[in-house]
Amino acid sequence: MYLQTIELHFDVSLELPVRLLLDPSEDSWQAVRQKALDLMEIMVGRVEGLAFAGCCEFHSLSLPGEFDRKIQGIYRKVKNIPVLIGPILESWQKHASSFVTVLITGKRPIDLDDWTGRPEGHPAPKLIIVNLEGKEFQDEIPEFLSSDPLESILDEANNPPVSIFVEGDGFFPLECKTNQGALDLDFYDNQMRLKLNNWDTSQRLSLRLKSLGLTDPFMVIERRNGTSEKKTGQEISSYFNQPIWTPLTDAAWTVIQAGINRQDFECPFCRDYHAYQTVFCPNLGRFLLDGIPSKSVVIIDRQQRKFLSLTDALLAWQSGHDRIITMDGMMYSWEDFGWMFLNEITPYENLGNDFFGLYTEG
Amino acid sequence: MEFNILFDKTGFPLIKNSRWDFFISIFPVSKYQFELFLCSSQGHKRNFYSDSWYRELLKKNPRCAWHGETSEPWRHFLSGESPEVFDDFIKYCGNGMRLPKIDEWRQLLEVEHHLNENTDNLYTLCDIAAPPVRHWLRQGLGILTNEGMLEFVQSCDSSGTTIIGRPFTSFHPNLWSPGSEREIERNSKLWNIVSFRLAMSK
Repeated sequence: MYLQTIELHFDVSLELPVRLLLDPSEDSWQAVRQKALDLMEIMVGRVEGLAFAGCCEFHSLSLPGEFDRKIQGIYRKVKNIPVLIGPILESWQKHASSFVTVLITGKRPIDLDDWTGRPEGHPAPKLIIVNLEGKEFQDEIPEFLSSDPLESILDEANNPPVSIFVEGDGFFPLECKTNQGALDLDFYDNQMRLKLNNWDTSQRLSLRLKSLGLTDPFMVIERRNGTSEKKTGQEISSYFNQPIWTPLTDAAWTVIQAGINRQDFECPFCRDYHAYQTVFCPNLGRFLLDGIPSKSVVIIDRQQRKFLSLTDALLAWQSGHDRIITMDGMMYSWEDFGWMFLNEITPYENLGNDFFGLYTEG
Repeated sequence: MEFNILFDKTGFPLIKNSRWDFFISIFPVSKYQFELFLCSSQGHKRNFYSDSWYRELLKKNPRCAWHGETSEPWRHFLSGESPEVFDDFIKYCGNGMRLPKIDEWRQLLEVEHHLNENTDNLYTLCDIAAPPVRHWLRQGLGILTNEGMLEFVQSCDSSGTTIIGRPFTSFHPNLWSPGSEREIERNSKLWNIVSFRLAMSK
């Protein structure tokens, strides 16, 4: 298999969606309905749908006010059916990705015991039980029961990400654009990960990515309670333009030429001679690579007298088929077993084909 | 002895010996299965299966978690109701499911010993089964014809139902012959563990 260039868009909510499971018993219906409305008011946009305990049919709620319009009609069909949660939770586990279930009930569900102390291989979903009546099972299942009021339910439903990253078979990120957070490369065990830091959970995350890989990479969201989700991206094409190469100024070209040839050079500014790797004039305290950003990794195209700066968006540059230079100046090559770290680029590192790499400390 | 296996709508297995012309389930119908029916549109059709109805039924043979360790295994299985209720469940399962005939049940009884000695095979074949199946097989809860629930089956002439089986001795100490027909009073304690299983012709 060969490395391919892949362009994907990840558009994900960092908050877990909420599904409501409602007790259909007539004697608690008004209280259940009101609590559901109150919850939806504080969890704006997070409640993706509902079902009644005892009925596997799922009702999505995607429009504002849909609950009010739909609920009485649905309720009439299921009034007083047995308060069973197992078949619904199992069907949701099979067909949906991560979510939180909030069960609002006035009765102990008949099959509640099936969801406590589950054996290995049969994990229980995240379930919050809002018990509206009495103490029938108040102390029995502390891992599920929510202590009303609404704010504490909201707090329990929150399971924020603790780690967000993209990885995949042969994955190596080249370019990336995100609407939030800061990106970081993380190399371990011959694999590369793209990590997101400083995200805002309340905002959707939109991340467009151009990368190399054997298969499509995926996003992993690890959450506070130890669960994790894999998200796949949508294929996009031609979102990323060709990287922009900028012509070198005459002054910068003088310094770079000397550097490539490993020769001392006459400083274009102080006229003194400096060692070939000097990029900061010791006499004038001035950065010598005029027009090139300091403290960044740049690629020099000697034939075209142009440079390319690796920035936050341009994470890495591919030299030839299997060699990569990252924005933090590290070189990697693709081998049979995965990515291999080669070295940190040296001043005017020869990258082949008349390209040279340089970290512009300044 | 070769067996074929198939799974009913609820993910529970039925087996068929190469000499048989029928499949028969390896467990009596469980509450886990019946609750799938209760949560389906068929379960809601008649407005009969209400929360209070089911809770009342469970008083006869209380429920326990399918994954729980219990010295009262009869609590896993649906029992204590009339054949009409069981019939609704059988219809829900569709696919030609029916009550076993009495001689089909007796043929299962004949091979129970062999099957219980080969539960590893059954376990392997049940990799796509509903969660309780493998758990119960591991606990040695298979077949249950020689000692288990009492069960409704079709009578010899298929004109009605009769009850067969030998109750769990921990529920009702006994030396009954499992293959003999029994008359069970509706208000007796034994009625509370009268169950049934599924069969289909093939």
